[in-house]
Amino acid sequence: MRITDKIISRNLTGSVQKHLQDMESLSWSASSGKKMRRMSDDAVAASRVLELRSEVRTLARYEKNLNEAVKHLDYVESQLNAANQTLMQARTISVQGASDTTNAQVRQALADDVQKLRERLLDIANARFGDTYIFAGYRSLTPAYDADGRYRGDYGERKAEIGPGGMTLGMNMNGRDVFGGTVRGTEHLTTLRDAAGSALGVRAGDIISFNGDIGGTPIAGTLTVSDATTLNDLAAALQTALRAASIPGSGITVTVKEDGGLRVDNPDTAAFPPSVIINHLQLTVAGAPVFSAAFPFPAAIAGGNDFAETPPLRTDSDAFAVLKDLETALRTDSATGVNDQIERIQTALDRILRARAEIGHRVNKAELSGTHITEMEAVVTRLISDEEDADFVKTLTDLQSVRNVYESSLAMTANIYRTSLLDFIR
Amino acid sequence: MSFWVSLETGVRALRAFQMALQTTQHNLANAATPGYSRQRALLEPTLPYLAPEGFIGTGVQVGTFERVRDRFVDYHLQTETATSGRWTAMQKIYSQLEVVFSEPTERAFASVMNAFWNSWEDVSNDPTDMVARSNLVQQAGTLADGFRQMHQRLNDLRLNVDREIRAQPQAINDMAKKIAQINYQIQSVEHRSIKANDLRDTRDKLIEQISEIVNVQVLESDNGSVNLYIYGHPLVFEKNAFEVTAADRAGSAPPMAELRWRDSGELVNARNGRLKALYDMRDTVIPDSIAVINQLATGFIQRINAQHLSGMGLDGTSRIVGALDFPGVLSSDRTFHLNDIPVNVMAGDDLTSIVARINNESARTGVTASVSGARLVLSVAPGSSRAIRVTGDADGLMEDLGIINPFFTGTDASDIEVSSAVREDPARIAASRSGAPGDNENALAIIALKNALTMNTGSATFSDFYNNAVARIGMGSQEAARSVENTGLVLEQLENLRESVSGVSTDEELLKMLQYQRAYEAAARLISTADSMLDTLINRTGAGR
Repeated sequence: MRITDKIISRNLTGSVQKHLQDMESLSWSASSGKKMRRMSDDAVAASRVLELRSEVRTLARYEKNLNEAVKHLDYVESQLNAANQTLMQARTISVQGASDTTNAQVRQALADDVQKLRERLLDIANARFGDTYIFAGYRSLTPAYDADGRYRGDYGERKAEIGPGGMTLGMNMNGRDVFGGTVRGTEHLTTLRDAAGSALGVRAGDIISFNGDIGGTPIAGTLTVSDATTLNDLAAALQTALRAASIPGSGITVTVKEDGGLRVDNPDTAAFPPSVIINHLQLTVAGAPVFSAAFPFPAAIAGGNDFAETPPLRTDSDAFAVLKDLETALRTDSATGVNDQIERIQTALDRILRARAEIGHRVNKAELSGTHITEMEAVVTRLISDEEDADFVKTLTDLQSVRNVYESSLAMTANIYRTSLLDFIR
Repeated sequence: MSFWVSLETGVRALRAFQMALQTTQHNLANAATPGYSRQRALLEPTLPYLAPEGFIGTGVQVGTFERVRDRFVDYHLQTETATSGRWTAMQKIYSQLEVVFSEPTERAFASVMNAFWNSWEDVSNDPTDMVARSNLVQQAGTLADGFRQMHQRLNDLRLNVDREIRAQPQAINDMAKKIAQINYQIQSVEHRSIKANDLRDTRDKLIEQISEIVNVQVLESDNGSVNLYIYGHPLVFEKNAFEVTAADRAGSAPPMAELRWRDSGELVNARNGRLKALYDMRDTVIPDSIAVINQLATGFIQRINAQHLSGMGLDGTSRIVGALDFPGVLSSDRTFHLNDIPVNVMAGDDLTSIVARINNESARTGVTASVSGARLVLSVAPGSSRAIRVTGDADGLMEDLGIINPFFTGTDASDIEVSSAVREDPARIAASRSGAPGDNENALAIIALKNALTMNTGSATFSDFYNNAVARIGMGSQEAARSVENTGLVLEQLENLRESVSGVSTDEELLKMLQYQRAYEAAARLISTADSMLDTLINRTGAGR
């Protein structure tokens, strides 16, 4: 091939440009510590980095949520601890008050103590974390319990997202699961009290009969009560009886309401026309009408979204009711009355113990997830680093060798250019 | 045979070598001129004359000045220049496209999306925290701005490319005219063996420049003209140039230009060169990116709104003031559920009638309605533990009244915005499902959309979809960059090859210079020798003695 000056100079310009570009990009790598500047530098790696980076962000978010949840749980646990101590004191007082050696004067003083303990327990139940009433469920802007110890919250459990696929951690406990209060359906019938706080008086072995009629068809059905029979069982039996008495296929439902009452619904207008109504519904034991205060069903339920509700029930071991009863028993100087409360206080304590166990379980889960997240973060960060971070030693070595090539090509060209036929013509 | 012939031979040689030297000079002077091809004086013997003894030579003359050029390399160079022009233009626009997305840097759109989801998580962790809610409104605003900005930038880029396309006819027409002119000059100057070498060089350079813009077919005719064709249609024929012009494409909005022949109105068929790249980027690559951004924004608007509408704001517990005025009357019957109780309103109802209908059911719903200004107000009795819960708003009445609010308004990336109701009062962000203030179920449901397969008919998450789109642009850009490099190498090879044939080597020319100089000296010596021989003959022979 014939070589001309222009070929030499073009090759030189080309290679100088190439070396300069290489040096520029290598020195950028050295100063930024990254391999890629633009997507086009390595599109496959860049898209993988994008994915991994969103993975890291998600993990970081899970970690933040987890810490937030643990903060809440720690606070709940501290309140549970305080509640536990308060009830332990109440138990000590009740043991002392039940003793025959205690006189009326001392019982009056103890009653004052119990009143204070109850107030303290109410404060604990209405504890706030930030502006959140932690035991009020979702109704977190209003106190969980009113002054009478009635639960005003709901059963909402605020969840924090702590892992992929909807892995969540509850951040709060509703007051009912801690202090008792309204019922949810899983409580045993024999332990329930009506809205006023009086025991329902149902005992194991009782047979509850459903009486009444739907549009003239008699309602028939019974429920035999055992110690294990729950309010839900009663609702289910009642529903079966009502459905059997109405037009087949109608959708009458009996549910336990959020506040602990029963609700009879007839959502299906077509199957259960408004003309057909429940005229009369009564729950009896051995022929005698019972629960009239607890289940005052109205005389008529028409079809088409009409419904009937009863007032809420309360649990037997509702901590505030127990303390109230204890105070009353002490004030009335009734040793047996006080003695009756000891077992109920223990039940209330058991409930708090279960709540603490639940919180402990959640904290454990949080710790496990936290460890897992930290490990995952390390792995993914490492992967990102593999994709986008420059190998410092390699970058510097490359930079040096490119510079050597650059300098030697400059030197070579200078040498070639220096020689010309002109030098040799005299 | 005469001495005069010898003298004549010497003079011819002197002239020939002078001309050859001048060519060498011309070459040396143009050693750095781009597009210049070295020229050669082709020396040839003059016609001999026939003496009785045989043919006797009469010296040298310059037959022709030849331009050293390889047509095959020229043809290759033209094709490769078109390809190189195409990839170079593509890479330039791709790199601008990359700047719009500015991935994989940390401040890119992916982080904006992430910040948006993070704000939802903050609201979810404490739904009653107004700071978290305000922050979410801010971040959602940033996200919406990001969408609109990207949409705007992509559209601007597309319009810039269109503007560049509109500028091409000027360049093409100018060069075509010049080539036609040179054709005319060459035709009038050249005849037989005389070649207009320098004009040809200029013309070749112009053809190469035109090739960079659009692929041309080059046919040289016997009379020295070159004719250029763009897929069958002549651009230059002999001394005539055919103009191209930019015309708005029918039915394109905003108007997009395409190149047409001025005479026939037919489309200029560009299959290579810069023009092809501009068309591809403007009509395929950039619109694809715009479509991706639009789909993503539409996905955000639709999916988040659907979930948001089924939730309740912070004010959902006891009193909700509608966010929108309702001055008119209903045009059709509508139904919605208040605390699970259906409420029917009729066509022709105004706000007062709607209030009356809601209040008719208030014994069962526990909710009373009133009017404030032109807005509906729902409330429950003071001290009641009941919440206001709106469900089953299939007819969108509660949405029209602003009782429940969409999170975003708009339809795609061009007009996405956080709804004015939410901006006005962040308490309207529907984090709650039940209406209770501490309820975060709806917020969690919205956050779940982050990892839900919402895009591409249920095969990708929002971020998958975005990442894929960005990766596609990255790969396109990478391919363009690599092709620029490859065609660059091929071009360099070809140019070196051409340089090797046509280029001026100073050493070579200097050698020739010496050669011609010596030959000139020899010829001069020949003349003086002939002269002295003549002198001997005339002065020393003794005719007069």
